[in-house]
Amino acid sequence: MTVIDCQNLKKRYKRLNALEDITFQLEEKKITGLIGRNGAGKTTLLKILAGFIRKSAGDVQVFSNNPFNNLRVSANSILVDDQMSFPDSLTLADILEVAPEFYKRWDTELANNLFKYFRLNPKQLHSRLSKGNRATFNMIFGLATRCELTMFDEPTNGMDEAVRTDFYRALLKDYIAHPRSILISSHHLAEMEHLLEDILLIHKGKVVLHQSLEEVKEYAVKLQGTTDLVEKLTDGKEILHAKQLDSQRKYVVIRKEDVPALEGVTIHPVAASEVCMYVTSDRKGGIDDVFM
Amino acid sequence: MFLCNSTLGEVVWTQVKFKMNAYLGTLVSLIVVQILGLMLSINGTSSMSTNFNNTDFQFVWITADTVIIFVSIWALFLGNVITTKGYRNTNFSFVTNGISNNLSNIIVLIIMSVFAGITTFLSHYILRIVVPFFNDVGYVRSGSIIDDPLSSITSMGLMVSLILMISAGGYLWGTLVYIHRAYMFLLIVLIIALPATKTGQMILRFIFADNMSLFVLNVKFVCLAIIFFVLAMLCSNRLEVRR
Repeated sequence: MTVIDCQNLKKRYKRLNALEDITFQLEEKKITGLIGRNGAGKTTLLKILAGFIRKSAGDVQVFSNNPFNNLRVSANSILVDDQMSFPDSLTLADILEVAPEFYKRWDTELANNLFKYFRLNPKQLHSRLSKGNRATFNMIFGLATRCELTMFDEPTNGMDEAVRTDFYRALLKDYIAHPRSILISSHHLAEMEHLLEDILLIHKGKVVLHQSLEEVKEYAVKLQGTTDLVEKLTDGKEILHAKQLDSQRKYVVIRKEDVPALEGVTIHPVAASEVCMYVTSDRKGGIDDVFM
Repeated sequence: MFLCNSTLGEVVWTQVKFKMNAYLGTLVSLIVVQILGLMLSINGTSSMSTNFNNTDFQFVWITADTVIIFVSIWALFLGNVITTKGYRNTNFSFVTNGISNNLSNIIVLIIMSVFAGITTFLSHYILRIVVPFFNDVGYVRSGSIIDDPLSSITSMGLMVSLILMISAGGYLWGTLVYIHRAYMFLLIVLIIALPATKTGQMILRFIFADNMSLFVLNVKFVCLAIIFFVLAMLCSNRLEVRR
């Protein structure tokens, strides 16, 4: 069944078109990575899906409902981001206590165990938590709701290395125990690649790629060799990325197709995170060219 | 895929419980405000002296009016504060939508107003007990619930509906400010414009003066509260959160 269905979704802010044209469908019970550069529209898209903000044009359906101001969507989805806030009159323990009343599938045991594992102080107030601890608490809250659609917006921001690793592990384990649709946005694709089944890559408010991770890994190859040879080989092809290594050698990233093996040119695979970076790059050349 | 279906009623009820729990601090502020009002009332609001057969009489009117004014201001800010961004975002961390958020806010304001109205009404009994300790008075005379139960209940109801109306006004005001900051000055404009213009005076007279009985005034207050709440709901239903 389709959980999310977006057709030509647009969102305009006063001076900015945050989403230009988003069309995609999300099938149930998959972990999808929402990948994009800064300002690509990831957060805006997630907020529309969570029903916090309105779309400007197009169509968006979550569980076959328009999510904005919809109680059914609100009861079955959660967006975990750094803007989550809780009343200052409630301690963290109080928050975990009231949550089951709102979320019918709340997993008290998971919440309490994670809470203890990450050594959060139950008497602490949410607004007084450090950035990393707040992110950790929000993550625990998001996982424990067990909502059919669980969305994380940059969940690991502020977490230290150890907590990040634990977070991805906890997410995966809980997903295996209770499969549900998870949409997780991040700009660190490499560190969460092992979790993802699908990748939804957006750039400047448009969907660039929506494919399985395997397909993205197979998307491009890197040819490396002498400049003349590489240029000859890639002549007329769409060049995703090119870099001059030294005066004689160069590498070029192109779409994967049958490239004849030639002496002097080596073919390397390109990681999914690199594919995403190259596909969304507007610039020719890299940061090095700025310092020439 | 199995979806949870929560009805509007369930969500509103859960939210009311949650909000009463979370906003308990406002009741503490209410009590502080009432104590402050009582302390300022102890010396009386007006007095009159007279001399009869070489005996000086001094009459001192001691009322809980100051408490009422203080509590009214409290109600205005209570209605206003729960519409602010922080409170709104907090509510939307849990299951909610615009309608359930508004309804639960309104129910919370009603509960708070009932509590504030009854305690404010009863506060003049505290005054009656406390005044002889601080003032040199020989005799205290005032009506009590037992003397005239019906009028006591009417004035208690009046206190509740007055506080409810003011908090509803604060709620509408806060909602408008959330939509646009310029509405911040709306209250000041109203305070100046209402007594200064002909229409404003007419409105004020219609509400406060032309009443056959306290009961009619009571009904007017409740109607005004309903109008304010409905307007606030209409204005805020399309509002976005966590912008």
